[in-house]
Amino acid sequence: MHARKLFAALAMSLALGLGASAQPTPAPDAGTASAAPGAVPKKGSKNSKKKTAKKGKKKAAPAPAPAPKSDIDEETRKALEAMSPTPAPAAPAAAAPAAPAAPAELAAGPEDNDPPVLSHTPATTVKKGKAFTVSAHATDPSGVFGPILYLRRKGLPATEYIPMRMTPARTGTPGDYSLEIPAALVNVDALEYYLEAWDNAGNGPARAGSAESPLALKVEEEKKIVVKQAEPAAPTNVTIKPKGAPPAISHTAVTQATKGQSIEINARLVGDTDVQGATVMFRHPGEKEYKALPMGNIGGDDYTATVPGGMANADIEYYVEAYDKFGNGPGRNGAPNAPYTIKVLDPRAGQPVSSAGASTSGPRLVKAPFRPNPGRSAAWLLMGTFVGGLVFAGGEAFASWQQNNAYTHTFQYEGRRETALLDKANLDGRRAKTAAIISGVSLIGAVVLLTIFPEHPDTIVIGSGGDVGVKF
Amino acid sequence: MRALLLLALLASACSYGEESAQIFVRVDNVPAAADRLVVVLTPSDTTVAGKNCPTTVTAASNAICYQPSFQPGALNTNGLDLAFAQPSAAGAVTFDITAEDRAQSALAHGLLACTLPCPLNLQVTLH
Repeated sequence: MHARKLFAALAMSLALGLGASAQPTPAPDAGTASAAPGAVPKKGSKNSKKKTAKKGKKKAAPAPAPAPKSDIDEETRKALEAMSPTPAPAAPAAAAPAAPAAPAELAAGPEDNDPPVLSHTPATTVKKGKAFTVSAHATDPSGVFGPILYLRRKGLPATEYIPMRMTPARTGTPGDYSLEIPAALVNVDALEYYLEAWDNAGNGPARAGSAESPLALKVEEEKKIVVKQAEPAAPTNVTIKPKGAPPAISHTAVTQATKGQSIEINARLVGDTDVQGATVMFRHPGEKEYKALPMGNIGGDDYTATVPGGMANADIEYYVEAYDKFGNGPGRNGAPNAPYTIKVLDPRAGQPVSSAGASTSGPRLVKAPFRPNPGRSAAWLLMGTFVGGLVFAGGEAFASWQQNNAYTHTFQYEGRRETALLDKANLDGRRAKTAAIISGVSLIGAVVLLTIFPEHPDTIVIGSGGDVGVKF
Repeated sequence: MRALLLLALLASACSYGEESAQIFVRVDNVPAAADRLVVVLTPSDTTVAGKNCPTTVTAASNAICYQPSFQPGALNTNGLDLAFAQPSAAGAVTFDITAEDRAQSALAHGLLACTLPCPLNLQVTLH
């Protein structure tokens, strides 16, 4: 109930506002021969008497105005009554300049007992939330009062109609009326309405639809037309880079190097779309241009490049850059205007080669600390076995030879066969063979082990910036 | 490689075969004072080259001399076994055996002859 009252009040206030602006003063209805409703009940005429009598009867029901209901609040009713063209017998002549002609016309014309002729093409659908206009055509020889449009939300009882007076259409065609239904009333699912028209003689109403069988007005959601934007065509001369990002480069800067020795620069390059063109850009201080040194993959994400020893004759500035396989990049570590600097130092003097000033902390050659090399120790042990075995075998062989000489000499010069000498000779011979075999095997083992386990360096370079690994 | 060659040489050099003897002579009754024997083997074949005969020994040119020495009195049962290679394939051969002391004085003497090939075991007693 509260909603209905609020709906009615809103509708009336809007209708009144629109009506007030569109028709500030009651004007003669278009298509009406008479000047004003107030001029209708003219006394002294036969017709007018009848009319008057009828009028008087009709006046018992005060206005042709609608009021098919009683639930409309008082304020709305007053507003409707104010809008209604109540016949005013005492209407001043000035307010209706054409009034005097009317009685003569009416007197001359036939008696009007007919209601206005009302024609209306029903609207069937409206857009939700959008104001719309209802048009109708009404004519009557006595002039038309109204027409009145009664509007309600579909499903509400008959007492909930909201009356709204139609106004002459702006087209200027006589008999054309229109009414703009404000958007506020169209925020419902469906509406129902009907039209009533009276003539100024009180005949009527002529109806289009009725309170009982109103005209249906379907409220449709406004269709949102989605205009799909056409994808812009790629310009033919533009290279479109696929998705991707330049590789991320992690790198531990090399800070010192030894003069004349190559400098290894390592970096880890990680890219979702592969890595290409990994490069170390380097130069000597004071040079404008960087030289490119390609980096090679050494497994996984690790890349390396070696600055030749010939270039390591002065300090070096460098940075690392790389692209992905789609050309995105370059990703950099360091930058052309903020490169890393490698101090190139003289290992013998421990002095920097560059003109940056003397330093006492340059790389130096020192004796390497002891590091066990068991494999090589075993090799030398085998080598000792080889030598010892060889000497032993030689001694045994010599002894065997001596014994055999004694045996032979005894036989040849003394005529005796000392088999003990021969047995001794052969025993020594077997020992020599065994020792020789052991010695040979030891030699082979020693050579193999010496090959597998190379000698540790006697000296190491220390203090060269961390790029030389020393294990103590 | 050189080491392997050396090892091969050692291996081949350290095995000796027995001397070949065809004539075995048992000498008995060697005087206790004797410290050596002088055996002169003279084949009938004059083409055999003589050897090992000192100048102090009178022997033919094709004679082969042997001088086994020993510690005086150390011989077991005063006997001594000798073995000789056959000097020639055929013919006869004589054995002249003399026992001498340290002063090279003759202490005993014996003589043995056989036709080649001689019997396997011969025996001679010194007197």
